[in-house]
Amino acid sequence: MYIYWYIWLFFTMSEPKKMNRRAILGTVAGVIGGLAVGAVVGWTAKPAEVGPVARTETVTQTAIRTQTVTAPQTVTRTLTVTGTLPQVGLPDRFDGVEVTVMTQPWNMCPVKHHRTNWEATTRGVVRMIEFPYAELRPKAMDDFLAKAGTYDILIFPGGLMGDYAGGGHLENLDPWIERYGFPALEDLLPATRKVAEWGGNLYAVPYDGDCHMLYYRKDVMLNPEYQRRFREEYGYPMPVPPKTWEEVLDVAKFFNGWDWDKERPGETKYGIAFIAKRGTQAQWTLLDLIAQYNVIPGTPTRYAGHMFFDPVTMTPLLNEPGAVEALKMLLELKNYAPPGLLGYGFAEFRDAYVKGGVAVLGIDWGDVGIMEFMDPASVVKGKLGYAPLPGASKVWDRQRGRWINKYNQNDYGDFGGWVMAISAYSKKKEAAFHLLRYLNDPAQSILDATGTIGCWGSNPYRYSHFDLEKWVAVGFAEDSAREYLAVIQKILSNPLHLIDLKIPGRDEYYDKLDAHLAKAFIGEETPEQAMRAVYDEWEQVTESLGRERQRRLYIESLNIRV
Amino acid sequence: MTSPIKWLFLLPAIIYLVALTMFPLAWSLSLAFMDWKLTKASDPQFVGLDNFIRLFTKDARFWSALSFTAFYVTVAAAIELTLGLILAVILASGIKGGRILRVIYIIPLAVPPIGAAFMWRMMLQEDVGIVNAILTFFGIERIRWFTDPWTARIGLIMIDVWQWTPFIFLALLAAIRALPVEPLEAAKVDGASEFKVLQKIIIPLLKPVIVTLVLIRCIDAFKLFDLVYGVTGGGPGLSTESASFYIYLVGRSYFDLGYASAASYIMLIIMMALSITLLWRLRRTW
Repeated sequence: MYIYWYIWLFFTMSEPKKMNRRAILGTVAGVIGGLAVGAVVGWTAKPAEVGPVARTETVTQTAIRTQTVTAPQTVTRTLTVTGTLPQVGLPDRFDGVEVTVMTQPWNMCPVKHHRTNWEATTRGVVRMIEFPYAELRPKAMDDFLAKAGTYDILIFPGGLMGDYAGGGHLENLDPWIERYGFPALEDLLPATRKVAEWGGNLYAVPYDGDCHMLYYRKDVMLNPEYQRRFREEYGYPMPVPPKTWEEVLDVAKFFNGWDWDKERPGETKYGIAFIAKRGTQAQWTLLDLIAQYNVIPGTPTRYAGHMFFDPVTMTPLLNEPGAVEALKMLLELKNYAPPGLLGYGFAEFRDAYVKGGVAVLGIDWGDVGIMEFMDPASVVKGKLGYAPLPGASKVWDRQRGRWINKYNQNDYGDFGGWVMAISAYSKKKEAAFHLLRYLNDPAQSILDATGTIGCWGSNPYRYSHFDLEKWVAVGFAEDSAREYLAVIQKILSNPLHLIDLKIPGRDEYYDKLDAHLAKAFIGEETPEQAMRAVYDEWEQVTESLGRERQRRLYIESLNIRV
Repeated sequence: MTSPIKWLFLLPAIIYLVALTMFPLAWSLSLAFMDWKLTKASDPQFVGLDNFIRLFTKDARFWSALSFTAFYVTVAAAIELTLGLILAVILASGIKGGRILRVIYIIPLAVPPIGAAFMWRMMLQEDVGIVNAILTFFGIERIRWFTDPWTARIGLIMIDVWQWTPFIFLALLAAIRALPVEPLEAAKVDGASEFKVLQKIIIPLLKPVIVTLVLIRCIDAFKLFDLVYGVTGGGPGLSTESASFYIYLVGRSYFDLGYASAASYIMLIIMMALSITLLWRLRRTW
C-alpha cells in the first residue's frame, strides 16, 4: 500500500522533465546492464548443498511392557508394547531451552494446550510458529535449504515425507526410540505408522490419523416412507449405508432437489456434497473413487495394492480405464450436489453439510464427525451415520487388461494424516524428542483426538484413542461414537489400507490432477481427455525429477514387492 | 557536497539497496537460466535459455493465466477509474454529508487484501452466502459466483473494484480540489453546463493525474494474487488463475525455482514495457 504513496510523491514532487527516446533507451539499457552484472554475481554465489543426515546412535537394552486398550464394539486388544530402556537417560530438565514447533494454526491447538504442563515439568520453553497451510511446505523447505534449524519440531502432512525424509531433512527417530524409549509404540494404528515411516524407519510419529469416510443422514435414510418410495423407484431396498458408488449415485439421485427433512419450509436439499473446489483438496475425492475402480486390493505388488504408478516403468496409472470410470462417476455425482459445489473447499463443505444440512450424503475426513457434536451451530447432531468409503461393482485388472465384475473395496488414507518430526538441523534434539514423546503419549493425545481440550483437528491414530467412554464423556451420543470409531478403526487398522502418494513432488503431481479435475468439472475436458492430460503431465514431472530416482522412492515409500 | 563524507552517509542506503534489492534481483535473474528444482535434491545446473523456450513453446497454462490477468487489469482499472471519477466529482461539488461519505468510501482501502478475499469468499458462497440469500429474498435467482468461469472472473473484478475504487476516488478528489478555480468560474460565467465543465475543463486538467493513477492500478492489478489465492484458488477450471498465482505455484509448490524465475522475468518485462509506455505518454502530456 505504501508504494502508492511513494509513487504518488515521486510524480507530484519531482520536476516535470521531458523524456525523449534516447532517455528511455538509456534507462532500459542501464537496468538491463545492472541486472546482467548482478546475474554474474548471483551465478557465482552457489546455494548451500543439501546432503543426507549422518547419525551415530547406539542401541542396547530392551524391556517389555504391556498395555490393555479397549476399542469399540467387539475389539479388545491386549497390546504387548516393545519399548526400550535408556542406555543414557533422556534428561527431564531443559532449563531455558526453547523448542520451536512449526505447523498451521489448526494443528497447533493441542500444542498450545499441552505445552503448559511440559514447560512446568521440564523448565523448557515451547515456541510456536504458525503458517497458513499453503505456506507450511515452502517455509520448511526454505529452512531445510539453509540448514538453519529454525524449527525443531515440524507438524506436517504425512504426504510430504518424500520431500522431507526422502530429502534427508528429518531426524531418524528409531535410534532415539531405541535409546530413550517411546510411549506405547504398538498402540499406533498400522496405517498411521506406515505414513510416518520412510524406508522402514520411523522418521516421524503420527499426529492426526486422517482418512476419508462416507457420512449419511440416518434420520432421513431410515425414514420408512422414503425407503418405500426408494424401493419402488429403484427396485431394491434403500442401502443404508450405500456399499458401492453405484448405490451412492442412486441415493444421491433419489434425495436430490427436494426438502427431505422439512426443518425449514421451502428449502431445497440435495443428494450429496463433497470437496470440489479448485486448489483445495478435490483431488482426494476423485482418488476415493479411483481406489475402488482401479486398484485390486492386496499386498503392494506391481499390479495390486497401490494406485499411482507402475513400479516397474514409473508410468502413471491414472489414465487406466478404472481411473476414467471413476472420474465419470464423480462427474455424474456432481449433478446431484448443491449448485455451489465447485466452491466447496473443506471449510465450505463442512459449513454446508454440518451447519446447513444441505445433503444426505457427504464425503470427508473424520472432522465432520467431531463437528457434528462439538460445533454449537451443528444441525445434524446425532443424525449422522458413518461408513467406510463405498466400493465399486467392478474393478479394472490392468495385468490382464479387462474389467473384473465383482465387488471391490479399498480403504484409503487420503492426505495421509499429519505427522510430527524433528528437523535434522535442530540444535536441540533432546528437548525436541522429549516434547515430541510427551505430545504423542496416549495420556495427552487421547484429549486431542476426542476434542476434550477444544481442539478438533486431530483424529484418532492410536488404538487407545477408541476408548468409548472418553468420547461419550465429551458429549458424543454413545451409539454415534461407537459407530464413528468403529469405521475409523476399520480403515486405519486395515493392513492393506492404500497409502497416499508421498514421494518428492507430490504437490506438483496433485496440482496437475486437481487442475484437470477442475476442467472436467466445468466441462472443458472430457474424462478421457482429463485423465490423458494428467498422465502426460505426470510423466513430465517424473522426467523432471528423475524417473529412476522417483521409481526407487515410490517403491520404498509403499514397500512394494516388484 | 563534494566531500567524501557524503559517501559515508550514503553507505547505509547503498548497502541496503544492494543487499535487499540488487542482489535478490540479480540472483533471481541468474536462476532463470538454471534448472533448479528443490524436490529433485540436486544442485542448480546452467541450462541457458531452456526455461524461456519451454515457457514460450510448451506452457499454454502460463499464457492462459497471463491473458486472464490482462483482461482483469483492463476491466478492473477501467471500472475503477470511471467510478472513482464520478464519486470524486460528486463529492467535490460539496454535497451534504460529503465528509461522512468520504470516510465510508475509504474503508475498503483499509482492509488487507487477503482479509477482503476471505470475507468476499464467504459472502459470495453460492449456497449459504449472504449475497445469494439476499438475492433469493427478493426473488432473484442465485448467481453461480464461483462455479461458472465468467461469473468467477467478474466476481474477482467486482471485489477489486470494491477495494480499489476508493483509492482512485481519493486521489482524484484531492486533485480536483487543487485545480485552479479561474477556468471553472470563467466557464460558468460563459454559461457552460456542469457536464461541459467536466468534459472540457476538469478531465483535461486531471489528465496527468489520471494517467498516473491508471499506471499505478495497472501495475498493482497485474500482480493479482491475494484474491485468486483467497477466493477462487484459480478455479473453476483454471479460469481465474492469474500469472502471479501460477508463478507462485511453480515456485512455491512445485519448487521449480529456475522456471518460476524465468516466468517472473517475462512478467517483469511486460510490466516494464507497459510502465514505460504509459510514463512516456504521461511525460508528453505534462
